Amino acid sequence: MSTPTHPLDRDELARRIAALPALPPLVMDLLASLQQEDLDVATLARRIAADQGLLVRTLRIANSPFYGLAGQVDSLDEAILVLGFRTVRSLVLGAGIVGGFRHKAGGGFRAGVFWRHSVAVAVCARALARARRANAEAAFTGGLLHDLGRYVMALCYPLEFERVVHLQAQRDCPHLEAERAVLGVDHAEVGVMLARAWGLPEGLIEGISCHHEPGENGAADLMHCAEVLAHALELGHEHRGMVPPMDHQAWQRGGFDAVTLAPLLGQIENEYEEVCNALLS
Amino acid sequence: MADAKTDQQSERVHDDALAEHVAWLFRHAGDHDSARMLQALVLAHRRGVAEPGAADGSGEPQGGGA
Repeated sequence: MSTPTHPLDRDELARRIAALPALPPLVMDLLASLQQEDLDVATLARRIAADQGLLVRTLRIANSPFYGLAGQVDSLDEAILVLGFRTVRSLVLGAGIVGGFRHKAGGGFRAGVFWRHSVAVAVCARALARARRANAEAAFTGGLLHDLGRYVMALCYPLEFERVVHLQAQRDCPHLEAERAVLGVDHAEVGVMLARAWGLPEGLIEGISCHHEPGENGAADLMHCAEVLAHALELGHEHRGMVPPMDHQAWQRGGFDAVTLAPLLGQIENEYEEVCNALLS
Repeated sequence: MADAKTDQQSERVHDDALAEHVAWLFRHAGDHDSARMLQALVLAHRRGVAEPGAADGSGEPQGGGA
């Protein structure tokens, strides 16, 4: 690889990441609970219900057409009864993650495009996880978080981020390549630094770490294929769309062949629109 | 008769443009079976084909990944 033109100082990067405000404690605890077998559902539900802002946003999503319950759910208990705690938890996490990142980033970073892409990957990851009978709600949350490193770059290093965007357009190359060429670090690595600073569960970190270059890890394979699929369907895409380099082995390991995927594409497109409306409007 | 011919031509032009766009979208995806499978599948989906001929991964995309 060629020498990066504006390499980031890793220690300084770590300091800037450590200075970023964390997500609300409730959201952090719900993220940690994704990998806990013995859930204290009653306590978590009480805490969700006590956060009025989060509760209102969660109920709005629960009442969206995607869940087929329009107008039927007006309390958290009812939502848990009808949808189940795990689904409600993923709704709360969706609202909490998107709501928790309202910081103004520079360098031409477009938060709307960023979140639409994140929702697209989340919806694709959930569909692929269902097809594999894996944890669909954890996959959805992982999709929302997979690119946070890009947000951090734009937030902490706006000028450098702008150079990355320019280089990518100039060379018509994937994000990762432009980031490494300019900064000597890529958004996956930055995302992992943030995830570790926040103490996120290992399963989520694996998805963030390796979604472009999976290495025989189930969570990373799933996130990689979801990322590719979101770009292939041009969901939440930027003007110059591009399917990123695909890892053939990851697609084979995941068993994602045409027979599995064909029925999912239309369903993913519909879910994407509905989740965007519910989470981002 | 002339109108029908014009419609067919217009449809072919549209279909060619669609195939070209999808090939462009996959320009960095790679030159392997998974990339070809997904490209063919996406093209079939865009054409509105519910069960694409690519369902066994043998579809022939127009153009290729990088």
